[in-house]
Amino acid sequence: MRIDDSGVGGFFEDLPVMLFVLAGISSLIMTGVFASEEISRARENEELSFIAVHMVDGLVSHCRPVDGGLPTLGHIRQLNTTDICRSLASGRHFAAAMIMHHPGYELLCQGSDSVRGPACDAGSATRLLNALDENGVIAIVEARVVAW
Amino acid sequence: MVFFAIAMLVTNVCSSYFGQTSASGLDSPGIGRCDPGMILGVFLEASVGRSIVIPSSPEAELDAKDQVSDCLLVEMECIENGGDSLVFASLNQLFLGILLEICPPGMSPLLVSYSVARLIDQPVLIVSDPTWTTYERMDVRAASATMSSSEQHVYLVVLKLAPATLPELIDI
Repeated sequence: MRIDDSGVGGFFEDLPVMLFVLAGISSLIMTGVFASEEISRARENEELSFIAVHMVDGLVSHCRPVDGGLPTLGHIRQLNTTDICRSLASGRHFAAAMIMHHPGYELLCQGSDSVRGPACDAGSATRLLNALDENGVIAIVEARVVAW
Repeated sequence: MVFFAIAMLVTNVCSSYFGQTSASGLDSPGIGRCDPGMILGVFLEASVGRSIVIPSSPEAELDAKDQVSDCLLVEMECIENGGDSLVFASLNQLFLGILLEICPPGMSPLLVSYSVARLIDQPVLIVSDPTWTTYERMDVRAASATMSSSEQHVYLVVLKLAPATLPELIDI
């Protein structure tokens, strides 16, 4: 009786080809998943940066007096940054601060709507502005917002 | 084999592209949010913050309320009229301190001013961070402003910002 082993041999001859095809398909799928995640993360960061810029611009416009002159440090200290930023945050979490850098360092005011900081993706924006202190010295103040 | 090679090629190209784009964002902290025009504007409008005595002849005293732009004009006028630039060392140090305070972390400032009436390659005043390197850099951002003195001299003030160089690499 003859043993027909040609079918078994054919199967094992095709295995390396099948492995190469499967490896190629899996690498393409993994690349696609990786690329789509990177693109969605970039879009998310772009949107967060846009919201942060919107919030910091709103914060600076609240600092400026209506007559167009320089804001005072006393006015900036009394700003409610949490309420101002909440109205502009589009449902995102945020942390905002106004910091004087010159002639001395001082945290003028700060606010946040969350006790936790950003987990991974976040957008930030800063603006510099001049402000008058009580002695008539023109200080440099930074408005800083982080959104997540 | 051909299919596998093409798949690997596509994978490598995509991975390197997205790896580069994500790494470039991490390697340049502060670049995206530094605006030299905004920094130069608030710097020139700010007060110097403390009184400084300039040991020139005659001796001059600058008040804490005096604006940086006015002090810069006094200094440039004095140098243009043949005065000694070394007497303004403490004032320049104060300017550098203010710039370092308001620049984004990891950025190095360079303030250069030119007289518009003179050759543009002969700056009147240079205030620079010690970590600023003099070779040509591709990653420099700059902004400028013009100022006029009472003697109708026009000066161009340029602020350049670049990622700070590590101190140990300056001498290389």
